[in-house]
Amino acid sequence: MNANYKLNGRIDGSNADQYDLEISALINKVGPSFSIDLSELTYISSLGLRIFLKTAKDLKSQNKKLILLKPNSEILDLLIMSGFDKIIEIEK
Amino acid sequence: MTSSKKLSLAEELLLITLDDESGKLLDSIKPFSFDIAIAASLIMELTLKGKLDTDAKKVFVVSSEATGDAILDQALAAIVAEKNSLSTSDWLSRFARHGATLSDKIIESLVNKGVVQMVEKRLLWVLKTRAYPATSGIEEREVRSRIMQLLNNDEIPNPSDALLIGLLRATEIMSRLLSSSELVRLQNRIDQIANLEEINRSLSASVKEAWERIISQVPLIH
Repeated sequence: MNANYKLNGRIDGSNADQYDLEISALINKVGPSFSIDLSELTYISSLGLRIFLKTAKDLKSQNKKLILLKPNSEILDLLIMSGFDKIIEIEK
Repeated sequence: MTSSKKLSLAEELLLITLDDESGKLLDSIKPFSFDIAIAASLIMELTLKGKLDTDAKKVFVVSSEATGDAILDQALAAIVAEKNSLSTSDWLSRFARHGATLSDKIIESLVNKGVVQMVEKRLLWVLKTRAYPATSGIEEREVRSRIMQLLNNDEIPNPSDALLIGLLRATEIMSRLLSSSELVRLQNRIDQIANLEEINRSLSASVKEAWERIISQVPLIH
C-alpha cells in the first residue's frame, strides 16, 4: 500500500503541531482511507500519539479511516500498550 | 439561556467529587487517590496547553511560558526548575503531597467562577465548617452527560475527555456515576479510553502503588 504521508525520526511536543497541521491539510483530499507510513519513525511522545487519535477522529467524522503502516517493534509495542490497535488499523 | 462555564480538568474532577447535597467531598473517595488525581490533573492540563509532553520515562517541558493560571504556572515552574529528568509518576508523587492545598485552590477557583458557592455552617454552635454546593448544577450535569455519551458510544475521544475518564477511574468515582450493572458493562470502554493516555496509565499505577504501600503498613491480625 502506498502511504499518503510519511513520518520520520522523532515526534514530540517540539514538532507535533507542525505534523498535525500538515496531516490535517491532507485528510480532506483523500479517498476512504488515509495511511501514514511509520517505518522511519523512531520515537513518539504522548503529544505525538494524540495526532493519530485526532486524525482518526477527524477521518471517522467523514466516514473515512486511518491506517498506520509498518511501525518498528518499539512503536508497535507502544501503540498496542495504549490500545491504539483497537481503534486504528495498523498494518505491520 | 444559562450556559456552562469552561472548566479545567481539575475543576471538573472536583465538581464530580463534591457531594450534591452537602457540597463536601464524597466520603467514598480515598484521600490518597484523590491527591494523586489532583496532581495528575495539573500535568494533564499542562500537556493540553502544549507546555509539557510525556513518555513512559519522563515528563519534559515544551514551553516554559506561563499559562496565566496561577496553580498551573506554579506546577510548570517547579518542573522547569528541576534539573533531573523525572517520570510522570515521580511528579505525581511530588505534587500529591500538596493535594489538600491544591484542592482548596481549585475549589476557590470554582467559587470565583460562580460554579459553586461557599456556605459556612456551624457544628454545635462552635465549630465552623464549609461546604460548596453547586450554584446552578449546569456544569456538573454537562460533565456527566459528556462522560455518559462518550462511554455509551464508540466515538474516538478527544484528549481532555480521555484524561478526565482516567481521573475518574483512578478516584473510583465511576461507581457513583454508574449503577453496578452499568459499571460492569462499561468497564472495558472506560479502560479503553483511559489507557489511550500515558498520564492515565501512570496515574493508575501510582494509585495502585500507594494503596499497596498503605496495605503493607497495616498490621496483620492473627
